[in-house]
Amino acid sequence: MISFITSICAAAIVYAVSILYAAIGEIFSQRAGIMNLGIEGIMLMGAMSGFMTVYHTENLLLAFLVTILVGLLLGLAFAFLTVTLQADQTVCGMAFLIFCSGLSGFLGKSVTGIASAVKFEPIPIPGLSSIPVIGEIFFQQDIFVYLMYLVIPLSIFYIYKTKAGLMLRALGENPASLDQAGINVFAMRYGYVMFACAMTTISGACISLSYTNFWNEGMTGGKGWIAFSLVAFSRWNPAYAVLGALLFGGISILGINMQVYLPGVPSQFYGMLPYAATVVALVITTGSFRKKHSEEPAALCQKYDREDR
Amino acid sequence: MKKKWISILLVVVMATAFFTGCSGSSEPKGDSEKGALDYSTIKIGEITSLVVNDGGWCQATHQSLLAAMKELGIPESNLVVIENVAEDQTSVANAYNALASEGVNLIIGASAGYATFLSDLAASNPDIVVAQQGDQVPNLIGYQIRNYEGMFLAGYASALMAESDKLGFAGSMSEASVRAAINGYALGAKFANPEAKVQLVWANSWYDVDLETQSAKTLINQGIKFMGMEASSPAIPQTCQANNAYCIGYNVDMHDLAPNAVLFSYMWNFAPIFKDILTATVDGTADSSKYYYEGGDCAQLSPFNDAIVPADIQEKVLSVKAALDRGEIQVFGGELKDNEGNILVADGEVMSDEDIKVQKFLVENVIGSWK
Amino acid sequence: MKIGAIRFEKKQTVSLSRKVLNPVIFILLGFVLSSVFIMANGFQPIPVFGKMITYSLLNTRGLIGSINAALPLMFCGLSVAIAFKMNLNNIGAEGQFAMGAIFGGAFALYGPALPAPLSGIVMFFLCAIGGGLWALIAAALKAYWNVNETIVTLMLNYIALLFLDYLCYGPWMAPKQTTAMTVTIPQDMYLPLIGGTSSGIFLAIIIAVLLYLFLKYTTGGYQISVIKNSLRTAEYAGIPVKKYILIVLALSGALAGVAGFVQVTGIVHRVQAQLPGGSGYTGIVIAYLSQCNPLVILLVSVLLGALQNSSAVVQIMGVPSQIVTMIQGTLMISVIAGEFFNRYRIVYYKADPESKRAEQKNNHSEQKGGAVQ
Repeated sequence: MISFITSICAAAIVYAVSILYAAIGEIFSQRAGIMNLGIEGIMLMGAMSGFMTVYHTENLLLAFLVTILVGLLLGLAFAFLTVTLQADQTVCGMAFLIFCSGLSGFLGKSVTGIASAVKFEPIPIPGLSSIPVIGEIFFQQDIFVYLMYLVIPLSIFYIYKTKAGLMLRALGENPASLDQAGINVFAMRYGYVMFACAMTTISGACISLSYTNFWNEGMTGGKGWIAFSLVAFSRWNPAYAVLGALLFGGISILGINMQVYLPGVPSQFYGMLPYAATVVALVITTGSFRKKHSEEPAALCQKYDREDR
Repeated sequence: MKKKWISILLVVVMATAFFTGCSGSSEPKGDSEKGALDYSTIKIGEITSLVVNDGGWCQATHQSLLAAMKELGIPESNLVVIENVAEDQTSVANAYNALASEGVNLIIGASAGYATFLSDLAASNPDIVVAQQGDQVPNLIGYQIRNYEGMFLAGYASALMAESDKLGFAGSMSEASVRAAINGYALGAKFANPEAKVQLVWANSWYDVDLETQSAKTLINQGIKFMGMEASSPAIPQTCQANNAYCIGYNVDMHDLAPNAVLFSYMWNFAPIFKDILTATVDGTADSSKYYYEGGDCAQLSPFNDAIVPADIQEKVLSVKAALDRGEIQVFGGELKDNEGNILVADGEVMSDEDIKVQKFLVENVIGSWK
Repeated sequence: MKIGAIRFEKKQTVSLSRKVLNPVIFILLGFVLSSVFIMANGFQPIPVFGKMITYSLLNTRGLIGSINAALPLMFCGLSVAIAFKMNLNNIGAEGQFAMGAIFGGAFALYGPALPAPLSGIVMFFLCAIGGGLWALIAAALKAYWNVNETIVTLMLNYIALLFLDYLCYGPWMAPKQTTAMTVTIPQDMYLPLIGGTSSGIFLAIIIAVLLYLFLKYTTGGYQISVIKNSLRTAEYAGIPVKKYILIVLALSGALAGVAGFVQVTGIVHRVQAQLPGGSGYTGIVIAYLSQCNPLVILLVSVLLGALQNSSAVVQIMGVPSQIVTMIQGTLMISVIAGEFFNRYRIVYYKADPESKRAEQKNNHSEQKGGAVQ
């Protein structure tokens, strides 16, 4: 029984991490006032470019860097459209999704359906990994998971405890006031959008370089949408995003196990569990936060135009 | 104001002129004529639900078609592929009409979901031969492979290799041909070890890296070391490899995706069927009421993974295959019970092809539900 | 904003002709950009685009195909648009579509047999009710507990599609068949085809016009726009916001459910797994591209239907299917980026001292400048 629980927890962490990079990135972007609905497509670009590099060079570090570079470039394009040209963020995101899923399928055509020679393997951390239960859950994972252990506290610290984080929050609440204070709103938004896209491509690389080591068109299978809904679910706070991702991952894994432990129920109903659980969790958290101030950035999705001031 | 728009228009016009200028070059023409049965002029359209190198189902179909064409000396340029066609009426009609306007002689619908739609469309244009995987429907040549024969061998080999009685199976969606694969696997396992049980887990998706990974992990957590699969992504073999478990590949040869986990693969080989259909199309004898339901070489096995599968087991599997091909072993022969206690086939009888094709049951030693 | 000697200045008003001309020009620009991918792949862009357009728009058979493909998109677009008219993000049209088809399908396949026009009408309302009820879950949570409707509608999509899968792979699956679909619905419930076009198009036009009139000329439409502009003002003015959330989201779901009706009765004639096929998501794009104008939605849907349909004919020329997807994305990005030039005009500054002085005096002013117009 204990080994069953540990294996589910370990798998839930792997799942959660693969969407958390994208979700935390998107938290930063939305905090800055820019919503990117195209996460799914950008994840695909990350998965494709990372895999492509590994396949041809067998160099994981290079693949990781290429992935980030692709993310930054996509972010630059997205920021140009939404910040400079002030294009509608919803359509822009959807158009990016469509464009990127086509582009990733096209560029990755030559390496579709074959495995690379190397992938990110789990690295047990000496000492810590031999702690019973906890070691197996937390410290026998791969580099993406360990990196996430750093990203979570750093992102929370950045948003809530630093001056830059304060400015970030102001950017999503009232960009005009920052602008008047002589801060370059546009440059800041460019930065955060590019950061978010780079994080999103890392999520994609997680899937094609660590989860498995192959590439196929559309292989992210809706994970981008889960990451996207995690952002509002978490009330733009990385800590809650972590909880949400673990909840979603844990329950979806549990659902498959239920087919074995509790047979007789059509398996599609177990498949619905994580989505239903998300709704329930959302209702509970919204209820308990009701009295508090809404965390939603007021300027989210609003076009910021200096000449409107 | 006006001036600017005129200048923009000018740019567009210039760009247009530029591209038109470029497009003067001629397209490559078909090849020269050949002998009595002239295969060189046949034009073939293929409609697939994903891309033709998806590492799974579509790839198997496409490779089979190319192999059949090569054997008949049909140049690859005579094949037009339309990928990513959804299994809905609008998309199928659109692909069909596009191919029809292109003047193809034969259309191959490579996904069972196209059957009903293509059936209606084919009635409107009897000049085009349509071959369709899956059900037998009016106006179309139907084809299907007895995948359970190959999967019988897969289950047989797994049970011989496994130390425990419990095997696993990771299924995609509960469709008849998938159930046939599961049942074939379970019956093969039973053939080797009467005590063998097969634990089934559904991913409920035709392609989902996550769910397939989790399915394999769930089975491995049950202490299962050997499993069969009916899934398209390499996630299951790779998960097995990472957890010291083993599986039988599906659709295409999956050896290279997980060299330490795949015993061998079950591969769809439509080439003999396609060859027959191509010949019939060219000599004008194509009969739209024909239905192919083939086993034997069509339910092909990849080479064994010598590093894992011992020579004596390889031999045993091959001798069972020979017996299957000779008809000495009937996979769905009596007495056959389902896992709800009903008797499906009485002792000494054999299930009809009709019932095998649309099977809605899981055999006795499968743990799981098909509903 | 300025780049070198070029400045962008905000315009006060946008003329109608400009509103129409602008997207046309940027669609053309989108084609020019797309030709880069096509040429990179060794094809000539003009024949490719020519074939796309002639096949799916300038040819009767193709145009009919495009309209039929556009039908579910129209209703999904209207569904998303009406919700957004009140700042509600309904990204659940996909699931509401599925639920509409399930409700209507249950009646058509297993319900009592009714005489011809009546059975169709009952089915229409059941589809609408199915979609509406599904959206009402999100609406009630939003109205009474202020739960984020974007997430709830998205999650409900997955649940509805899995439920549709369950039915079509399980209890509803046609006997003696291996694919995940039901038997056909009774023939007298088919929506008639008029010259190959589904008569659902008239339904779409009627509903779009009604919506347009409702939003523009009724008190309800006015109050919705008040709620969109300022929730606080609306509450202050005594508009029953909660009631509107329930009604508008349910209406939005009902419209998506009607997409299920036209698809089942007009095109597919049965219920099948994955029936919505992404229309709900495409509906989001359509609604926003049309700026939620019901009449424009009809037009944009046909264009997107044509784009989807041209995919096959372009692949016949050898262009990979992914390129076609990229062209779709490029066209959308181009049009949406082009919106900028509806709001701004380009002003070219001559380097004369007077304008420089003016610029220093007021950094973001609009006056002056030797505009080349």
